[in-house]
Amino acid sequence: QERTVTGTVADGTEPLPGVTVIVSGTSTGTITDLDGNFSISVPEGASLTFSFIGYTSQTIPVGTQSKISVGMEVDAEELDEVVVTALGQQQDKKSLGYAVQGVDTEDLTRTGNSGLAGSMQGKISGVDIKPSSGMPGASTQINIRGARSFTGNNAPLYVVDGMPISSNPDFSTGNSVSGADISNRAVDIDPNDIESINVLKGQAAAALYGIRASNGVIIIKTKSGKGQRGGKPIVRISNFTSFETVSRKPEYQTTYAQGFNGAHSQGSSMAWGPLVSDLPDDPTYGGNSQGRPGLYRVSQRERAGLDPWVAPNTYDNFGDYFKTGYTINTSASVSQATEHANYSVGLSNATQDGVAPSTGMDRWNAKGKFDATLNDHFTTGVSANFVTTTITKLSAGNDASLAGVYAAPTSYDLKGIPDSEPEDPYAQIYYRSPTFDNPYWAAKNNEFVESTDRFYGNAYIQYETDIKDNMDIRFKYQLGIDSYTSHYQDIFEYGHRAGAGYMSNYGVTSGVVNSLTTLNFNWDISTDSKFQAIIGNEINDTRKKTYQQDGNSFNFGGWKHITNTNVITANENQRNTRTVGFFASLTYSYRSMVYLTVTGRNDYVSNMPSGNRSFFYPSVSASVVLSEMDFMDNMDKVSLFKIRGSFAQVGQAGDYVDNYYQTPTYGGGWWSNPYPIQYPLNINNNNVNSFTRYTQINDPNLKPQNTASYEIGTDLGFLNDRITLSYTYSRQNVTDQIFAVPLSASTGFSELYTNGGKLHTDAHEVILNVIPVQTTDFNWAINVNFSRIVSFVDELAEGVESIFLGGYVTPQVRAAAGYAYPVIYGSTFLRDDQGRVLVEEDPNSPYRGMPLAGPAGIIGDVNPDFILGFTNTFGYKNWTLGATFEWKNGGEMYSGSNGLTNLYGVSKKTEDRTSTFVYDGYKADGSKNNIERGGANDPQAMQYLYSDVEGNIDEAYIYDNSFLKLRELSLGYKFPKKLIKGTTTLGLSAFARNILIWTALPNFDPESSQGNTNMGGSFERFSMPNTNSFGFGVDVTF
Amino acid sequence: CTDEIMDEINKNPNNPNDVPSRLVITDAMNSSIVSVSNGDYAFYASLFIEHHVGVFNQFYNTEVRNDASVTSATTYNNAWVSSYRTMRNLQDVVDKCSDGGSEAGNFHTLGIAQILMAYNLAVVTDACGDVPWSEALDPINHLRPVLDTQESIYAEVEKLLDEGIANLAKTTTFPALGAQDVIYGLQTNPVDYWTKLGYGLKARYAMRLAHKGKYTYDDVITNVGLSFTSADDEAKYLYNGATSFNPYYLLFTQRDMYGSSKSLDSLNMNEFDPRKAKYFIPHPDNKDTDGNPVFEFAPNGSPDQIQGRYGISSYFNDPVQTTYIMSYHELKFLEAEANERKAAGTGKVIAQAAITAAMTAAKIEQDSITSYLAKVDSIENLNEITFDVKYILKEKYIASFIVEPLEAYADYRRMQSLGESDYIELLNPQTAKFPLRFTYGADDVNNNENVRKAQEKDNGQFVYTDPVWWASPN
Repeated sequence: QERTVTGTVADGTEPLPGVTVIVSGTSTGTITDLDGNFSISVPEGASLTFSFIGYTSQTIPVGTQSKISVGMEVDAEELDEVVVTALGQQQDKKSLGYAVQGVDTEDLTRTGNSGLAGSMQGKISGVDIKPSSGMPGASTQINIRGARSFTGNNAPLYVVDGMPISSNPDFSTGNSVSGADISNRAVDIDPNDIESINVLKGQAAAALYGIRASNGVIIIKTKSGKGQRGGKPIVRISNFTSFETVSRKPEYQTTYAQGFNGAHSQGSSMAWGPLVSDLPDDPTYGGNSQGRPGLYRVSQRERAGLDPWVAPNTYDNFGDYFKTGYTINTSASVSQATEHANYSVGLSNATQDGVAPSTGMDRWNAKGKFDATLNDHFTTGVSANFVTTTITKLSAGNDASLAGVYAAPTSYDLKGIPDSEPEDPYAQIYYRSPTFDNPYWAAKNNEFVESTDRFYGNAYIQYETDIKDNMDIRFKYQLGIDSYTSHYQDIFEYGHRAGAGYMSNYGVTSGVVNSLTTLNFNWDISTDSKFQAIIGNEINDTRKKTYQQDGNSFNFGGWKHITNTNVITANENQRNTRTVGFFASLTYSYRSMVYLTVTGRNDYVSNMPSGNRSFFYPSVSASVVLSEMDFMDNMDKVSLFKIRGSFAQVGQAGDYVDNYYQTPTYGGGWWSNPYPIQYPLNINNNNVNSFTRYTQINDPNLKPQNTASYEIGTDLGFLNDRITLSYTYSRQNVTDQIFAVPLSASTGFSELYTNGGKLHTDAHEVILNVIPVQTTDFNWAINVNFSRIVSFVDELAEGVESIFLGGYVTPQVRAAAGYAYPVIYGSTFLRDDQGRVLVEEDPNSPYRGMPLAGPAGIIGDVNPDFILGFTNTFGYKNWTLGATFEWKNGGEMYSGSNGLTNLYGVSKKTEDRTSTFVYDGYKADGSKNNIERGGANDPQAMQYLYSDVEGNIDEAYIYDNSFLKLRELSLGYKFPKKLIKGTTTLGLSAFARNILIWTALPNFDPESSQGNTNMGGSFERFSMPNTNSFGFGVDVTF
Repeated sequence: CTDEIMDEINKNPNNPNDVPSRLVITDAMNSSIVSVSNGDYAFYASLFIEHHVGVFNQFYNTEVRNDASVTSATTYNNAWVSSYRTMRNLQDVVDKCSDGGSEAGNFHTLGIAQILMAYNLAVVTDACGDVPWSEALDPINHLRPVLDTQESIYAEVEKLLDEGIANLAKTTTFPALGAQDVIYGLQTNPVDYWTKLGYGLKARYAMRLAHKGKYTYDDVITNVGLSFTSADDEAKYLYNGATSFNPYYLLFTQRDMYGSSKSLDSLNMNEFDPRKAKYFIPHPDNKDTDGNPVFEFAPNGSPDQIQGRYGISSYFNDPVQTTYIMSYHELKFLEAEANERKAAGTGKVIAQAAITAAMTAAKIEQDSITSYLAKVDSIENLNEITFDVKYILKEKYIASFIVEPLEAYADYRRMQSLGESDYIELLNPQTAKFPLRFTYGADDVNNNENVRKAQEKDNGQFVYTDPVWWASPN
């Protein structure tokens, strides 16, 4: 006999909609409505099972009750354990034979970082995140478990709500010694809209993504309203505002004036001149002999129309230039979950004004996400994101805007003396020759802008049904697009380098269509044995068009448009690629104790040579949960003991095209714009063009590079998981590396694009979570992420010792056989057999007693020994306090700014020019150097050392850049509920980022460097500075 | 997805897979001019032979003979790469226009390519001595070409010139290069001019090797006779100042690393030489307190490292200053030297014609030229100079100041091997560190053990001690 039972399901006082109510042991069931109510008809003696994702299921015997009220409890354990893995599959974490690590929204957004990369720093093991600088929108290198490719892509794949999106820069900064930085496309992601991030670190974890899986995957789930309680719409408004300043300020000498050899010279780039106080005695410029006692004449002031006579003084040129920047992040969202649907709609803005003038970012993100359960079988959903990002930048390296800011003699008043002549704003006034622009002039006149409009999103439909009691299938089709247009402008205004200037407009239109079909099959063979299968197909089609317009030599200043240039050249480039993949994954589990998964994927890629387009990639992984086994039942304190292991093979395709001709160019070497020859060339009153074979030739037998990796690891939980420890060791062996093998120039070509070389990476990762205190009012959690990752170049191509990644002729960043990846290459100190630095012994040489230059060689190892992230969070009642430290130990960089401030004689290190010194080196006979230099009779010794000698030894510019930074510090307070009418919560926070830096690198922030390529983080030269910030946040929900 | 569909997707719409030879040879000419005749070898040779003084950065380091600059493979890499890349393009033209190529029978283009190839090959062997040739430019078969001796390379140069001249004499159905020939394309019969250049180069290289017993001074004279008959014939390049620039001009505007050479002025030029006013002018940034220009010579070998003080050449201000593959005045100097060496006193008249041509090229008024020659006569009459081989070579050295430092550097080394290097006086105090050659390019040193072995000799110090074959004592 059946009867009707009604009731309400709630979490505390909030009704829970969407809870599944099933008559136990049958398939009869219903779902609670918006108010948490249900009504179901049950047979005599039945029980009801209530289940809802994220909550502990409950089974309650009906007995004689006609009304049942159920209080559901959040299942903390289950929430932790379900993780999103490849292709959006949700898996029980225990079942995984490989490491994945997640970061929650709270941890990401605690300090209101507007950049995703920065907000992840220190929070994930095995991941090295290297920002290029603190400039808004600056590019960041993210490498998961080291490198796999010498010169190619080492950045992970980003998947947002199931759709793989572009995250790499569309334009490389090339050698990274000129122009401005170019952002990664990951800059478009708003961390505030992220619900969770899961990082698939190893190749086994990512294997289902096939050819794109080798660098790991960052799976991002944006906020969707799903699982939200209450059924009512929730409005959330938050604002984070912070103020940025330069993180480190170099120390300068203020004793000696501009000039060299002890003499004052106006126009010199150096500060090896006389004592600042002696300037009035200068025979040319001094006022003491010209009736202006105590003053001296500054010719630049004269040009500027100011009174040229001033008293000697020193200036804080560095401090004068930078200002306090700000970042304002505001976001508003509405989300709701009802019985059959959930949605989230949001709008956010990040506005940044950098510490250097003319740098900033303005980003708007609009997003809508909607999921609906149509009936017992069909589910559908759509996710759409629109982003518009504008970034303004400054140039670095050879084009450095900041060269004078970093290296102007302190005797020169960089800020006080106008940057141009009063009658001609394009005739620069500067303390030195116009090899660089005056930084004030550059900020006012040069322009580096990038702007992007982007849409990405996807729609899906899913069908699921039971085939039998113990079998069900789920079919899902998802179609996504990622489409954007970026425009870049690099403008060197009329007057740049005392010339007529030049500009470039360039950009890209990129469209990606991704079609994903998956079929899941679950079969509970018995209560103990379970089987799951996934098969599917993915098609990824990309179309890209880039354009470039270069305009050379403006007619006049003030109109920075390409039609104002005299020589205009244009180019465009189109590239289409398609990848078609078929994949399958099979998992067998026994009693939640033993799991075994095998996967396979076959990819067909268009961008490889005909006949070499199809590749198969397998993976196998297993996990054994020892703590589920009987023998451990008595070990109460061990709540989890799992061991896991996996093996996978994945590839990375090249970008093959047939050999071709192209229009020759004459950049590089000495030349920046204009060049000796530029096509089309007007000669003898005819326009001529020319084509030559492209200097790189492509191997028609190119095959994908292969990464075979295995990892083993263990997950341990103690005291009910109050302490969890996870350790993973992985090894990647990369063979058939695809790269442009440098050819001997006498072949007539520079590179052969082919397979060659081997690279391997050993990675140790440890994650430790400890909750030392957990009470109602107070809790304290510690999270430690340790990574030691070494990528090692086993071999390059035959006869090739090293290959160029970026930099100058010397120094440069390279991959070198027999060394960790990457290394810095350049001229060395000449050393004896024992590796001791030799000094010049010729008594007649001005450089006697100073080091000698040796041949070019490897001079620096970029790899850190380890990186340790360390987070403490404290909660007391409504207060939370969080602090994240990051410690990078070991690793070196080329610090051009340190070396050059010595060379120019402006650094503090060069202040003492009167004491004698003995350079720490050796003589050829093995005795210690005893040649004393400096002192009253040898006044130029230090100038010789820094300017002439070390200036020609790149190794002298190599520095250890270990550091410990307090990445994040935050204090939050959540007001007790409903403080303000209509709100549910109100939170306030105060935070700081990148404060407190301890580093081995003198003067500059170790996280400031050149380049958005694999050389990133290791090469610095007048690069944009990094920043620290202080701010506050407010977060209101209604 | 079939291979055909994938092929279609992977089509490269941006670049051609093949182009006609006339579009390839144009850049071979341009790069021969701006990267070889007037490229880094020329820039550094200017320092070695003290046409200029390096006063800043790289050039300063070379000036003070900082070993790292003079002996390392990176310094001259761009020049090395440009040389072989230019020759690769020429080889491409030769392959297309030879039997079995897509334009077999295009004899005139073939001949031009061969003559330009001979020129480029001679430049690189003059610079570096034994260099890759027989296995060069063929990456399919030789990824790491071996070095060939300079002697065998000069045999190739001769062969290329002879074949080139022969091919230019053939009739062909292929159209002339026209405007794609950026050197002689606008002349009425470009083939005649290229032929003359072929003979001119034969004269130059006969002179280079005459003392090695390969050629006689008569060979020089014979070839001169078949070559240029006036400055209208010379192989020069006209820049437009908008999309093409003389590299010295760019080097000054972009790098500013040369200063006026004291030794050139005070030791080697006649004080009444009207060219001085053009060769040495104040640096535009050097002004006294009243704003008047200040001129200062840079001391050879020991300048202060500073920009904006030492004088420059007026040619640095000329974006369209001509570059020569071979000038008429050089040809006349060769003729003068050959005659003078055969019979003393017979070279003077020809040398006067050479000086006249050189001064005209240096934009000196005819009146000044005439009076210069008269003054030279007068001091000869006072026995202050002797108008002999050394004097002819010295005049050639001065004439080559503008853009022909490669020949000046070759002449100096040739004169060294003849024991006659006192025809000019150099002032750099580090005489033991006069570079006798350039190092090999880093792109070969790093990737080709054959070249690496040669470069590693004495840690690169061989550049001070080992002359190239034709400059070594017999």
